[in-house]
Amino acid sequence: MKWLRRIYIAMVLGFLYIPLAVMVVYSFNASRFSMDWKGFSGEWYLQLWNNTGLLTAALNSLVVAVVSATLSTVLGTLIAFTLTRWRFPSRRVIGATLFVMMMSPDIVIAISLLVLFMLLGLPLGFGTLVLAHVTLCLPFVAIVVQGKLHGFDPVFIEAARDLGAGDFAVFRYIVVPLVTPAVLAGWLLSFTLSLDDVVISFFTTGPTFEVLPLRIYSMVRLGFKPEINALCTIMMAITSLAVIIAYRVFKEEK
Amino acid sequence: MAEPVLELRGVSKRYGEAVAVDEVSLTVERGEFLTILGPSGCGKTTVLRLIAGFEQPSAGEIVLEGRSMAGVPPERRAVNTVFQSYALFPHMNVFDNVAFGLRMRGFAPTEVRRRVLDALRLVHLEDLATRMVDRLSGGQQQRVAIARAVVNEPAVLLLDEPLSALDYRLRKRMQIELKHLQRSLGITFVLVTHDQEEAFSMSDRVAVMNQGRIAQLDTPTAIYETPANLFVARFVGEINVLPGVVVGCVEHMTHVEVEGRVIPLSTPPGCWQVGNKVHVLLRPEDLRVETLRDLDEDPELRASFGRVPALLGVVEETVYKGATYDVILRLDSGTMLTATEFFNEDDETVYFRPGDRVAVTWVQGWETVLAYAP
Repeated sequence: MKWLRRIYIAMVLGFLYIPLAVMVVYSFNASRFSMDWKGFSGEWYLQLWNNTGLLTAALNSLVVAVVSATLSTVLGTLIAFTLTRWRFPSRRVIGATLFVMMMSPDIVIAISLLVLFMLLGLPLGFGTLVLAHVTLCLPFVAIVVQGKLHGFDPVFIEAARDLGAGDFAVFRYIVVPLVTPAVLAGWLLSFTLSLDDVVISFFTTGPTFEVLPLRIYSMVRLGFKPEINALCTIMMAITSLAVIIAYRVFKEEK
Repeated sequence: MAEPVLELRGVSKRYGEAVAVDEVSLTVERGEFLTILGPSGCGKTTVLRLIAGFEQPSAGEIVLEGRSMAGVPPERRAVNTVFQSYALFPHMNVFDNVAFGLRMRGFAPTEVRRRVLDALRLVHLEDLATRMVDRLSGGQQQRVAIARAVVNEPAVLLLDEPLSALDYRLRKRMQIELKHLQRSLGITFVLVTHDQEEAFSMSDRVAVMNQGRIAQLDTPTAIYETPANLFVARFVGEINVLPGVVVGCVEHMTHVEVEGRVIPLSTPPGCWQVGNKVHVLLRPEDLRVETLRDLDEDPELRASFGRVPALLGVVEETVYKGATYDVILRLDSGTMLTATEFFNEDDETVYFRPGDRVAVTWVQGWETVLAYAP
């Protein structure tokens, strides 16, 4: 039984991580063209560093991710508060539309936004891309924070008021600290959603503003370059770091 | 007469059609320990929430220290609450939880520190000041909740079933500690509970609530000994209820026919008229039971058995309770009675056996007579 369980665990982990491992290993492969192993090399990382186009795209991606994650976290948190705190007629409808937005295929969101932007005469670029990513991320933040607020016992608010806290003090000293973990989680989710989005970005950004996933996409179409392996390895390292930090933060909270 | 610290004047609370609290009026004296006792859903917690300010009354007025509380939010009322779930802030340690109220009122840090440590010493938690609250046992959380409330020196401390989450022994100990705390601090306590034992052992006065109204407000002894109505009688402990009819009123003696026997009752004259239907209420521990065999054999016992004509019946079963046992018996009329018997030196075993023919009586005057209510 014990070895059976071990095999099972190995299969699950292998299924998840073998592709990533292959990518990491090949990012250090000295061979340029073939998938044969030609020895260890850090060359592609060096080339990456000199590829200004790629670096610009990466920087663009980071900026868009930070800005849109922050915007959607602010808006999504406000929506979550509104939906849990007040009972108004369209509350259920708005709650449902959040799910509809979350479930909609990216391509549908992308096309609809493109049509809207063209109708409004907005030039495609940084602005439209951020707007599109906020649209993408907003429902996720709202739903994550709403989940936390639903589990939030209103007796804490009563206890704080009973002890002399006014509305602002309740928000500042009770609600914010208790909800922060969920808000942070929403931000991280938005950040990653924005960072690796291809479809929506493809339709809603212009030629003057290129983001990393699109850049990689076009690079691969012209032929696979080993720099891409190196680039993806770096991105993976950054994501892992973010996950570790997030885990630490939440553990502190507990 | 000193001004009452808290006064409720005809306070009602309605939620749509449902009436949670119905014209409740009561006054609480400074330093008093008042308990609101009642079954779940009787509106007792709503009364507490109205006093705390979490709810606004639909009618009536709440006056705290001479000031009407109409429209005054909870944060500006000189009352503090110990919540049933304690409601300790999970993101703060013990010290910060207790300090919260003082900080909100703008006390200087040194003063906050001094008062918080005093309060923690009071509840024997001075060593746990830096502990996070979710690392505390239930009893310790309870103490933090109490410290967090009393540190603010409220005019009235409200306690919503504060001991219900604790196990039996801890609950007993906390009852005594709470009472001591209340005495030594001199703070007015208003406690809500459904546990009559808790209410009786701690309170100066008890308000028994039923269906949004106060059924009786009196000292624990008065409520137990002379319940004002059947609800109170039945809610605060076991009681035997016998239907009867008034058959004669001579001077200050009322005669009532109960179970086919005419029994004299020492009720004040003028209370009843011949023909009135009544309930005669008897606590199980007030009943005296002897077997007919013993009464036949022992003239002395027969002589001491009491002047009230005995009711006859047969023992159905006995229930062992530890220090006492209950004798459940069926009167010849079919009515069931419960009598509590004590063990003593010459009577260490359950004396009565199922099937024993017995006579039941009581000391005249220990009964309570109420108007008949179906």
